[in-house]
Amino acid sequence: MDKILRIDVGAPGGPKATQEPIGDYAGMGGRGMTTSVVYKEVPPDCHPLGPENKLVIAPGLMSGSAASSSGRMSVGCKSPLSGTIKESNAGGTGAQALARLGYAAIILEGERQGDDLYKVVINDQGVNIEKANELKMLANYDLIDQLRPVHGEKVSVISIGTAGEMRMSNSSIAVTDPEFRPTRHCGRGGVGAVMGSKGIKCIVVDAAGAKTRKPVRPDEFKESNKKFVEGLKGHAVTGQGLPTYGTNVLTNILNEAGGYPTYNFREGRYKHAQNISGEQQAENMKAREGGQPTHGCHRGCIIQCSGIYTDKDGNYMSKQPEYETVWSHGGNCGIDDLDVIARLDYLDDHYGLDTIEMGVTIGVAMEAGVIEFGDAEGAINLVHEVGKGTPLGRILGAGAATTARCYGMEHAPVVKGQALPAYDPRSVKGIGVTYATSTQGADHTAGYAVTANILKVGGDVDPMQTSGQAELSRNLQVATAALDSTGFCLFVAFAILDQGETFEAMVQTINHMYGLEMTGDDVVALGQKILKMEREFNEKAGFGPAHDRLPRYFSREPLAPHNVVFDVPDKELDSVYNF
Amino acid sequence: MTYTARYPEPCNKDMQGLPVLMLKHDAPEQFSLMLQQGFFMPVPKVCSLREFLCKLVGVCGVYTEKSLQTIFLDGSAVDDIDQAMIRPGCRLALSAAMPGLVGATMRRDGYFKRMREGISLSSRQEKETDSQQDKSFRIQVRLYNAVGRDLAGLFLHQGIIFSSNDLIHFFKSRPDQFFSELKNIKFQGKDLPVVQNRLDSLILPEGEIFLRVVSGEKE
Repeated sequence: MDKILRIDVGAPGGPKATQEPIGDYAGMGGRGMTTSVVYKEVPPDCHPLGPENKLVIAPGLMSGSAASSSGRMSVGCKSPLSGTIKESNAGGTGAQALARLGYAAIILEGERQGDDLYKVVINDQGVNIEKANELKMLANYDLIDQLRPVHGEKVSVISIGTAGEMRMSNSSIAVTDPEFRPTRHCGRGGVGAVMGSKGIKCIVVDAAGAKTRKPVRPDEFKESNKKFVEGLKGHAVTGQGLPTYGTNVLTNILNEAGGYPTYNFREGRYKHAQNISGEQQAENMKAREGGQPTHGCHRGCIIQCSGIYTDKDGNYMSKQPEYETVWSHGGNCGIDDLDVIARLDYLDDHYGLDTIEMGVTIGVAMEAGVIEFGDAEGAINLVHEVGKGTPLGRILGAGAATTARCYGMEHAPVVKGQALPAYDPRSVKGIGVTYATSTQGADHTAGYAVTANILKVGGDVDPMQTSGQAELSRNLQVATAALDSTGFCLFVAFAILDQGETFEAMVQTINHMYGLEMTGDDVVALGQKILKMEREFNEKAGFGPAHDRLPRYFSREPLAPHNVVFDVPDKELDSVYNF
Repeated sequence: MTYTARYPEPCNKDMQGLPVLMLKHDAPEQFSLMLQQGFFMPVPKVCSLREFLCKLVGVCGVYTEKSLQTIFLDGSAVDDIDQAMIRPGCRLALSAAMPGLVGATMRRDGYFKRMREGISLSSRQEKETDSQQDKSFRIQVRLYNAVGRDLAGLFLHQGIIFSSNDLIHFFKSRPDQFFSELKNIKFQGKDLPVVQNRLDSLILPEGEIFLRVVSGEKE
């Protein structure tokens, strides 16, 4: 992984690819790479859909190696949804393929000329860019159907659906899974619109001629990776809970805690939660022909938290919808039918939409009276409106904040223009701090790496202190920024939380891959460096402390059943970036 | 972890006047899906959560400490099961360790518990005395994920109070495999046939019933 591919979409005669050594970006991968490039090369005050913005696609540092669960791929740019710097990552097969071909990053840059749409094909022989107007306005599954006869099913495809082509602020970039379905998405922040603005419909990556990346110290690598795998397999969450139930195992728990945002964040419990729980979902998948509750989103993942969801007759409906998707389209909209939610998940993937943003937007539209809460057919129709780009669809496709503005509503559950995920910050205030202060807009994964205690980010923090939500959030955000750079799935963090030896095995796996002697301190330093770059970019783009806030109604309107409000002082929020 | 417990003698001699359905089923974990939606359970007197789990249900020791990682009492996250009190009308939920930051946050006495301090069960609340300490009462229980699978046998052995309609609905949604493990049905003391591996002919009265399930080796 020692080269960068730049595609100048404004070159005379059509997009032109050039390859260059990794140079100053050496040592960066995943989010570290995307943030470094955007920070260095994109003017913070540019328009996200203008020629000055760049789209950076980067596999993690460990992607393409034999390290377990290391197939995350990051996409970065200035976000059309939030106006901030953006990193969004996904599993699927893309990261492994790009990394095996030696690419540390692909950078789409320049100003699109004309209306032609292009397909990029990358293999071990080089890069080919073809005009592909026949692919215009194809949704993702239809696109894959067109590409299959040409390229086979063993390639990886990174693509946008119709939402990205229409440059909607809610538009994702899809990555194909091992079954060659476009189910894994860099969802957040409207990254698909930036790819659309560059006129690139898809990138086909054929790594057939490439081999797994070799570690610098192969024997030691093998040993540490083995310990890492044992740690993941032996832990209750990564070895049992996630493979059995998927992430949707959280539905019952958040509902029980009164932190399950229901009816556009009006209530904290959904009375029909058991109908859409992970337990029910796993039952459906086990009982139905073709259903698969335990499945890896990329080869080499030991956690296997994804799945395949079929209907009662055994027909493919979608990938197993994740917790955030089940919540956003389910309890948040008053819909308690898993088959309907799977249909909505499929349509989101098909048109290329972020499921969190789309579900929250529908919730806002329901509160606005566009359709009723619980109207499953109406919700499906709204996603079709977005995918087809009708006038209403254009409003909804611009996200929850824009939709609320268009309907004259205060109740837009967003921070920096991005929809809040599936945890009400009034019940779980520590998460609210991360929502408010993340460089990415409201993002649950921004502070997801529950490794802060092991890493000792910020020293030995006493968890019994009564104050210090900001301190915990800061430490989590630092840890997450570092982990997002490795290509390891964030879910490895659960095993690391409890098992120091698993963390050690993970760090050693990285060290043996690159021939380094990195310590936990170095990991912390990397996380801090990434966050500082992101923060500085945002400040130059016009963001300050006033933007690091939850909407005021979260501090004013108590949430049942606990009747709590978000009351973390502004001063504490402002202290998150004191490092 | 798989829980192999000693099944304590059912403590609920008083079935609260409800119709009693007794099943002999060799795979009680196959009832776990219905236990996530909640059931009632009679409790003879106010006690700590640890006492309830260990003395009344039979969940003691390593399983309690290692596997019951997420517990809610009336929606509040529980850290100390000796301080948490089982009182009339309370709602108890038991779960394994959960993924995600919020999963880590909700864990018993976990490193990140400060992040949910607004909904944690405080010891101050729990030390209040209760005037009904010696009267029997019922509580609502929900068993989630792997905990439901692991502990279904113990709770069902004790006996639970469940809606007749919901139980019939549950039986109707079961695959054939479920009925192959069903060996005997006794309703109000009378044996009923298991016809063609289904329970379609089972007619239960409206309202609540008391359900007890025993498995072969634990009779």
